[in-house]
Amino acid sequence: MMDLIEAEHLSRYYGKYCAVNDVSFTLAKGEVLGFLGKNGAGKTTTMQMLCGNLAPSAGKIKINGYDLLNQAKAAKMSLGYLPDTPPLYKELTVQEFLLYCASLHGIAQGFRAKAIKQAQQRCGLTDVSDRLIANLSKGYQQRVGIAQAILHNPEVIVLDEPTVGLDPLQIREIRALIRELGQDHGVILSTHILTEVQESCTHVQIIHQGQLILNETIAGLNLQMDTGTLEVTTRLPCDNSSLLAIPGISSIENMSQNRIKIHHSVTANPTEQIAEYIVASGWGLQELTPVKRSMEDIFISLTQECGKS
Amino acid sequence: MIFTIASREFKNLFLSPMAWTVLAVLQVILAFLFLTQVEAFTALQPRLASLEDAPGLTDIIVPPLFGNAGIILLLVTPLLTMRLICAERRNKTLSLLLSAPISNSDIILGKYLGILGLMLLIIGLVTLMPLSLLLGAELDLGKLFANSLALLLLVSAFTATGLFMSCVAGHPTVAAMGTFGLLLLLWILDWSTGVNDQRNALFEYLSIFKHFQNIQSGLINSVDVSYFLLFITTFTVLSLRSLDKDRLHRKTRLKNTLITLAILCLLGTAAWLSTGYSAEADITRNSSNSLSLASKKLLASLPDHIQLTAYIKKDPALRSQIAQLVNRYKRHKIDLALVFIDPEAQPEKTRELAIDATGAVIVDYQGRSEKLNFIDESSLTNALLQLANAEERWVTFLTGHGERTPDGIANFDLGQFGKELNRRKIKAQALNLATIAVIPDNSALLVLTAPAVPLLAGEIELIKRYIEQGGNLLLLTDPGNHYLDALQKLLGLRQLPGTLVDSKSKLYGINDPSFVLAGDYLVHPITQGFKTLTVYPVASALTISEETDFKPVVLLKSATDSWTETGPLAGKILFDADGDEKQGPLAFAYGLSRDLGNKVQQRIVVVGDGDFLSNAYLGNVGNLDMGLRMINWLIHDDRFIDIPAKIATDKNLHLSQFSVGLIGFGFLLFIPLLLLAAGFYIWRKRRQR
Repeated sequence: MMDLIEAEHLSRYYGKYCAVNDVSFTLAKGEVLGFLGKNGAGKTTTMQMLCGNLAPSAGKIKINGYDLLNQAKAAKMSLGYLPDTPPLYKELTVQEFLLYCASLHGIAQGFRAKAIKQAQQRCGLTDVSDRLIANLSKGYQQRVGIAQAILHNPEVIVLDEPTVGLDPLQIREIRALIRELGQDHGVILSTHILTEVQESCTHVQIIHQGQLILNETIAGLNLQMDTGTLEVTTRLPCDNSSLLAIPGISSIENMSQNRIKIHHSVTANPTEQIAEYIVASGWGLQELTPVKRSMEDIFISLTQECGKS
Repeated sequence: MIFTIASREFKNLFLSPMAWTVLAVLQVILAFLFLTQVEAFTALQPRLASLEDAPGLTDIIVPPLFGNAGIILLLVTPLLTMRLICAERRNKTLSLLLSAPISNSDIILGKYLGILGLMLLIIGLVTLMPLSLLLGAELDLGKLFANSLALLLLVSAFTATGLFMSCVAGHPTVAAMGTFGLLLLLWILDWSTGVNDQRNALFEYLSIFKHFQNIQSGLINSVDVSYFLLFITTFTVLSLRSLDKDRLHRKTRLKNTLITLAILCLLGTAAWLSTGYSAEADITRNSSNSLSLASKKLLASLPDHIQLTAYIKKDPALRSQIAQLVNRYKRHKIDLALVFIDPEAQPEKTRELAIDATGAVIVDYQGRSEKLNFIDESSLTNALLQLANAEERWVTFLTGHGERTPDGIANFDLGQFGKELNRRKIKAQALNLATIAVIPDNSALLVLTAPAVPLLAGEIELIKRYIEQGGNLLLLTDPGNHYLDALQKLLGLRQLPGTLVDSKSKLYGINDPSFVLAGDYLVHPITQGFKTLTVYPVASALTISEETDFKPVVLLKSATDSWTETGPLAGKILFDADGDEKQGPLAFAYGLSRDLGNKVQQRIVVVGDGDFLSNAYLGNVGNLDMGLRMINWLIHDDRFIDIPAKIATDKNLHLSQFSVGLIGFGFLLFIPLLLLAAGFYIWRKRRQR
């Protein structure tokens, strides 16, 4: 099957500063690719390059088989893009705005109404279609932005932080929508929230300081990140050196007198042994919580890994 | 796709009250200016009706209205264009356009055409105003169209500049300031060229106002039109290039810059070429911008360089009027140059050429020169016609009896006149019959002025024979001088006793009734096309006394309120019907002619006054011209090209009470209020959504 997106050796410089450095990846139909990175990692720049808003300083992008530079029109026909700030003409109503977008994307006159109706239904905008965008809440504005990106049923949908500013309920709806879209489109979605990737993506890429440091399926990601963290609170202070003897524990940090942080391997999960050992030693186990892994941890582990290898 | 973007842009303007307000305010200001012009015309109308070559209604109302509209739009356009790209970029909505399957040129042209739609509306509103006068007048629709076109091109150029600035600037305010600054600069370029005596061709070409005015005149010249088209293209291309800047591959950036430079060079070359090959069409109703066929033919027959030097004070309006006239000649003769000199800057030269406060234009051709105090097509063409004659001619002045001499410097002498003749290659030579008892046959004309002592009988005989043999003669006598009576008798004329006095001369501020004024000239080749007043101090009336071979035609005639005063010219003088005095109108100059066969005509002019050509009075109003015209006719150098004045057909404006109300209230109140109300309604309605 042909790849919907082929990005080869993309680089982008702002003057001397290198925002994106030699990034290559592909996206196939049915994939939802999570683009993960900290602020300033180069996510938005990559997105902008994919959508023809910025030209790469070097490298090549093909969308649905068309070169984005040389066959821009054909390439963009198969592209729906929601930038980090939704591009909305706030003086228009939702209906007017979507109609304009429909004609910009070359939807034939007769199909516009239907396409708009469908997009509004998908994004839950049917009730507000006659209101001015300026008067809508941020969440609704974000939805209009998404509606605009999926309006013309493009093969490739690029969403730059689509859930920003939405309430938890809306976030759930949008994630569901993304999963749904992923079934017969190729979707790229950038975010800095790990759970978002885990919930709605099939693939994940992590970008750090302009460089791609991970390109995996979600399953592969879980395998890759072979470290877990436990927070342990005890009545009496523990003896770290004796704990370290337990197989699977890589390091221990002292947080306070009675609290420690234990970093361990996920494959050989030592949680049970730790609990048993603490109880056996009579330190008085009060709390043992697995810490939800943050981006930070993943970066640390990945960058460390990169450093090692 | 261009149309999609353009129509969205256009509609967006009208969603907010902004465009409506702009339209309403412009309408009020321009309607006010328009109505003031109409009122001014109504006040001028009776006076204009009596003038032969007066401007018409269209000339008086349309160009100032459109000129003002241009200036106001210079201020307004930056505000309308500043948001085009800049605001999209700031609101991050540009990415919507950039990621859509449309090219950059679609975006740029769409945006441009969208805003141009509003401009068209404005121009439509402006054009509607003069059109409304069709209710009570004829209009020169060609000229009106030319003005609309000029304004459209001007505003399109403004908009293109605004679009470019909006592409480049980071903030709409900066874009507006940039646009305004650039346009003002292009506008101002014209001032510097208009005021200085030296003109800079490049600045003149770049000046946007000059081209605007050229088209406004109704003469559609390819140079002006292509200036605007190139201007618009340049800024659209630059906009396109600046929009492309962020979307370029590193490798192609240098290439892109080079392409931009190449396009700019190409446009520059096109501009340069366009000045070399110009075509034009005069679309005014009576071709008021075109030279008559006669003038064109004359220009074609002149092989050498023609130099015009205008000693005119620094009055841009007057200077541009002269420049416009000369431009019409320039189009048919490349080596014709016009230089402006401020008379105050060169006092010696001005004094030498005897140029008075109103200024004059000196025409030089092949070392001969003509001075024009009044310049229009007729006078300039005829001056060129005179100059075209390269032959040297001789005019003989009889001296030796206390006559006025052609080289004398006394008040009553004709020294100045002699010099003026010399300037036109007419050599004045003094003849004393006592030394050479023959009238030279190289002489084209014999001039006799009133002698102080009687001529000898032999001399009279000699002159009589000269006349009988067909010689041309100019005879200037004076009241009470009878030494030339014998000759006058030969010509069939008699001098009336007394001095001609005219009570009308007081009206012109002359306190001496013996100054006779002539202004309404009779039909004669000498006075054909002559419009300037002439003054004859102390003249004698003439009358036809007996039959002769000559055909006498009255050349100059005094007014009805004049008479021949036989008493002393002092104190209160009155017409005395019982005595020798005769009531006017009285002739005091005759032109006589006689066919000698072989198509040769003998020509004679007799004037009852010699002072009008004397050093003391030659400079008065049109005296010099009258003298030259007489000489030219007498020496058969009287070719005259009659160029009919172009009479405007739209001199009358008669509006009914209802039409006046409709025009006044409609433009000043109804349309602006309607616009404001529509804007307010739409704004209110949308705000509630």
